Amino acid sequence: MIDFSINMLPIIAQAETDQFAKILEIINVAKLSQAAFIIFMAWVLNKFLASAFDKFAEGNASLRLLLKKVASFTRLAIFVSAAVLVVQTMFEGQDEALLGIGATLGIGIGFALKDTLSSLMSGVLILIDQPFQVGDRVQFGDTYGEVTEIGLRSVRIVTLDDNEVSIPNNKFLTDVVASANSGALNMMVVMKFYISVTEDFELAKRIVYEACITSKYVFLSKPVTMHVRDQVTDVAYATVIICKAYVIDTRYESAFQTDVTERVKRAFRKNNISHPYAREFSVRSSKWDDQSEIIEDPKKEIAE
Amino acid sequence: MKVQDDNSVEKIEQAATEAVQVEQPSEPEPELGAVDLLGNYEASVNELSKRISELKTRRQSLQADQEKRQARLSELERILEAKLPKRVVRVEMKRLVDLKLENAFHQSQLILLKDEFSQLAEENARIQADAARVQNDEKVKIQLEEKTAVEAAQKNLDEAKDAEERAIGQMKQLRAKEREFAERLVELTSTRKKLSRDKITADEKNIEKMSNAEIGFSTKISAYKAGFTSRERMDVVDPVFRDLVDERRRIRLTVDSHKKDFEVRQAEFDVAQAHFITLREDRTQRFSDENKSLSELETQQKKLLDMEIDIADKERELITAEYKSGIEHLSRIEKYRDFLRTEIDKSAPIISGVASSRYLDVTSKDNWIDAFYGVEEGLERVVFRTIGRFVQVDAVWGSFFNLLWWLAKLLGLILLVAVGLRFFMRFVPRITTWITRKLFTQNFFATRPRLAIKLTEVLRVVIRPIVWYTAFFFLFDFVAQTLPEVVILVWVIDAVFLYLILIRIVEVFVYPRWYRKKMGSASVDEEEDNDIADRSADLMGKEINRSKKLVWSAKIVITFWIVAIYVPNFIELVIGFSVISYTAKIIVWSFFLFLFFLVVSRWKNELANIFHDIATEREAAGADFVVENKDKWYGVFVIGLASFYVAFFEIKRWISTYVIETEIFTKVNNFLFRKKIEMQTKAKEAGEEEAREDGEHLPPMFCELFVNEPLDLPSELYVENKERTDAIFKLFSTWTEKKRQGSIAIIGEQGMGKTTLLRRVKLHLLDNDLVIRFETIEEKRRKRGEVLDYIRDLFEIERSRKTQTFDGLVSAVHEQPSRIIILDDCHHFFMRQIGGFDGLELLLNFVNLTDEKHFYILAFNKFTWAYVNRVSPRNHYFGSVVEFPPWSLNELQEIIELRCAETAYLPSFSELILTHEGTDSTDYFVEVVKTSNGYFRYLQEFSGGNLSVAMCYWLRSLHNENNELRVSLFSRPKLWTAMADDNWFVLTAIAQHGTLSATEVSQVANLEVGFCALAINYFVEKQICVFCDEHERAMLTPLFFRQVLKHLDNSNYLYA
Repeated sequence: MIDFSINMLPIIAQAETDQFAKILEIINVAKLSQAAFIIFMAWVLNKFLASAFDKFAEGNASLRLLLKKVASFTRLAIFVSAAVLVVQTMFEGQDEALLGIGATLGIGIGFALKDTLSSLMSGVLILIDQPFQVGDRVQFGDTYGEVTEIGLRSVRIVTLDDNEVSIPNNKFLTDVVASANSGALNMMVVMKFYISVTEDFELAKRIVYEACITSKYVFLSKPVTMHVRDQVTDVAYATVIICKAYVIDTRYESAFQTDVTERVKRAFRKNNISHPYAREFSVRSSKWDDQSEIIEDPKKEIAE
Repeated sequence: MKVQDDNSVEKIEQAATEAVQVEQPSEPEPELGAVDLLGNYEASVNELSKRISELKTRRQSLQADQEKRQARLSELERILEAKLPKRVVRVEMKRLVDLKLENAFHQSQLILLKDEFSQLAEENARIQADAARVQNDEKVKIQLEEKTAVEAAQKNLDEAKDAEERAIGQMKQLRAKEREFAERLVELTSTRKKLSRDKITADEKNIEKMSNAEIGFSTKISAYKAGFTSRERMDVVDPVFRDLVDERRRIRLTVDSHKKDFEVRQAEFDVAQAHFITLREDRTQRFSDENKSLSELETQQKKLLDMEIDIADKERELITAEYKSGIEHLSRIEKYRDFLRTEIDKSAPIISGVASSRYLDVTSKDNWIDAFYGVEEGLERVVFRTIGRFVQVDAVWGSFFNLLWWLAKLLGLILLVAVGLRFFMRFVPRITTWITRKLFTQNFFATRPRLAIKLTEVLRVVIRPIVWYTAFFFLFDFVAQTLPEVVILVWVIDAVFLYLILIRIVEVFVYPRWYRKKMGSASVDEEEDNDIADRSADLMGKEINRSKKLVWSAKIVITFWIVAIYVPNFIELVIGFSVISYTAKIIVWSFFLFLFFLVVSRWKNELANIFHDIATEREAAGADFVVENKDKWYGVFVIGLASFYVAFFEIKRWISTYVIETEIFTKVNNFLFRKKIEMQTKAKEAGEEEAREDGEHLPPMFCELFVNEPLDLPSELYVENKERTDAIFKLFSTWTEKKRQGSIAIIGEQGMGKTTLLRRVKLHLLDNDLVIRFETIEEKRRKRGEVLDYIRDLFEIERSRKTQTFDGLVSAVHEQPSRIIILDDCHHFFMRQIGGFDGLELLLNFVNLTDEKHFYILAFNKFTWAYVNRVSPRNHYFGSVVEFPPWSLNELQEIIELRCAETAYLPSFSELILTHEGTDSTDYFVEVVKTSNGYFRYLQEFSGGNLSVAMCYWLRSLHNENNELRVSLFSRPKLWTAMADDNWFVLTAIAQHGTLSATEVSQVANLEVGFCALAINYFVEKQICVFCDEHERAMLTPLFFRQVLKHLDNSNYLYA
């Protein structure tokens, strides 16, 4: 049992003064300035490299994903290096203090930011394990979109609605995540078109196929496949034409679907192929007067 | 009264004393017998003496008291005489009376004592009488015995005298010997010490000398630098090397001298050792019983023997000390010798040729002496190190338990490695499968499956040896921590595993998989394997034989290679750089000739055939000679020479194909060329850029020759590519003869010269009787009806019910006389939209169905053709598809020079020439040629061999200076890439179709017409596009053609 009598007070005061002096020795203006400078330089370097990578990747789609991956690793490397440099600067020649304060901070911050640290480690694991990569189209829970950044704390996904969603990295270690393109620039897009079972499905299939292969977004190095099947929908008994095609760039996924759907619908109307709706309706457009996309049937020619 | 008392006492005392004194001389000697009697007598005498002494004591005390009393009495008497007071007198009187009474008492006591003394005296007398009697009885006996004893003693005395005389003689001798040994020891010690001191001094001097020499050599050698010139080698390295060699020879003599010394010491030590052992044995024999009492002489002899042993031991120790000192010194010399040897080995590679040839001269006796000494030294080192290691091992292991512990650790490690191996080997198939999968996910390997499969097979066959190698290496590393010499074994393991791995790799690349499976080194499905093996055994027999020969050759070469590397290195490591190691190296490499002979003789047929194929054109006679003489006895040498020829051409071809003609090499070359010129002309070109880009100052007639238009043939400006035209003419000839598949598709980028080629073909075919129709498709005809109408017009067929249908039209065309149809810009039959393939499909079907009757030549835009073929292959519709390759450097240069020659202008390349001072006219001309070649190479690379682009940039390179056209580097306008994607889709549509109007672009790209028109106008304004006809169709300009295509290709928008 320590006797904290009045005689001990000067000793305690001295000890506190020493400790305070040590802290002052560690945290002084010069060191703080150096640390701030290092952090600032790391930030500038990160911004510069990110900008350079973005700029370079913009005109080169084939390198875009690779450069984004490199950017992720570079960001991680810059911040880790900066952290190491800051710690070295602050605790230069203070190994004991470094150990002590490091351990204290480690435990303290570890408890306080348990989830954050977990996310940080998960971020490193994601970068190494690569269940998905920057630029991939991923489905995570209800969120579907393009991974724009794999950060130290979270993964940022831009959804098709152009919302940026941040998901903590540690979530990806426990939950299921689906990557549509897994690192490739192109990805498969599945489109379904419903027509009435009484319509000319071959013509419809050809229209859908040609709409796909002539789309400006289609990636033709991989095959375009077509499937036709009859299906009972909520409203009618319909024929479904399924088109599976690859888009040249994941960012055009929605645009690809839109482009194909627009042109298919236009061609369906022009060729009088109706949708499987029980009720008749009529929608007209001035564009439909253009006869350029009307399919001529060779059989009809023979019949004529 | 007093006097009386005193006398009586004295008398008593005197009497007693006399009694005692009288008795004493007559006291019988104990040796003469009557022991008991004498004992009693003595006791009585003692008792009496004791009593007498007591009486004396009492008498003295009594006397003292009496004197005191006497003194008191005298005092009292004086007092009385002085008439003292009565009271005092009374007291004193009383006291006097008391004293008198007391005195009387003492007197009585003295009387009693006197009586007692008398009794004692009587008793004493009685005892003396008894004693005298006893003494008389024994006297005779004693005298007899005494006589006998005296005689015996006399005899012994005589004998002792004799022995003493002898002993004195021997002792004298021993003393002399002892002195001699002492002198010898002194002499030995002083002589040896002096010798040792001299030797140590000499050794110290020698060591100092060696240290100085070592420092000197180290200083000189540290001044060596990389990249000595031959002169510097002679001036700097050679003297040091020579000194090193001389010093080593000197040290060699020193070492020999030391070794002889050691031999002498060894002999001396052997003698000393033998002497020492003899002496010790002698001592052991003579003085084995330590408890036995020794005579003085014997003691002296023993002492002398010990002394002699000490001397022998000392001598032995001195020799050993000298030996040890010598060893230490020799060890230092050997270190110095090792230093010299190391430095000689280090300097040897950089000495001049003269010094090298001198040192390695096989006719020099000194060199051989040095070399053999190196061998001896090496062997000594090996032996010493082995012994040293055993000593070290003993020191490390220390005890049996340590050894056991080490062995246990080794065993544990082996078990660990064995378990690890077993565990890892189970995962080997999974690992290879995983790597294979990973490989195939890479585009590079996915498009090269053969390479990927070979790589995985290589991995599969080498992974196990590599794992084994790692395990062995791990174990030997552990052993080498205790025994570093085990590292030599690692060399052997390295060599063995290297051999195994290389051979396995060769087998993978050379043998078919089923054959390796048969050999047991590949895993193939068994049924498939057997099936393939059965089917291929006969077919592949020759191939297998060839493969076997290849593997055999690889084995020979790898074995030789390993031997040639490891053996000379090992020899040099052991014996150092000398004429022997040099000879060994030469001998090993001499085997190369034998190896060459073996391999060439095995491959002579193949080599002869290859040589025949390669050299027939140039050296027909030589080729025949090789083939004819290959089986002669000297055939191998002929084939050997032919092999060099073959190797030279193969290497040249390989370098040309894979280095010089590669895109990257060209790009790097052009980049360097451009940068050099840019750096030189940067300042000069400031302010002139705009004028040059526009080419406004160029003469119009000059510019007209380089307009992007097809040539009207015949023209002197036309440069023919024989390869292309011959391909067309050849197919035409074939069609003429066989009437089969008379259709050719010519595919090329815009501005490549497709139209000019078609005109050239038409010109050529005019010689035939056939009707030729040359048409350029200017409008989009993508509807079936439009195409049918066009075909009817083409063949001048009337529109009828029959010809309204495709089949009817085909029948009608078949009835037409054969004709040649040349159609330019056939990509206008296609548009990338729904239904956009109909026209093209119909045309291709038509051509395919009628090309037996008619000959078709159709030209397509490269990107259109690439796209429609990617959607569905269409090459098979034609008899031949001629891809329009990029114009080569020479062709481009020729085309431009021809057009320049048409004018009076001869562009000068002087501005591009890198400044060289002091060059004469010949050099200048060479520089001009080199520069112009460099310029055209750069132009060709940038334009991608596209003629219109090349001519556009050629004009941009020129500027008019005083009516003289000067060539400078053309600037490359940069494309502004930060445009909206839709703009790029507009450009994609235009590039893919050649020319498109805004409406057509909107249909193709599914964009608003207004946006497309706006975009096209913007591109026209920026010189990216240009309107090419009255339909306001836009096409890419040559100025931005390459930049646009590059961006579209990078973005995956365009297929090419």
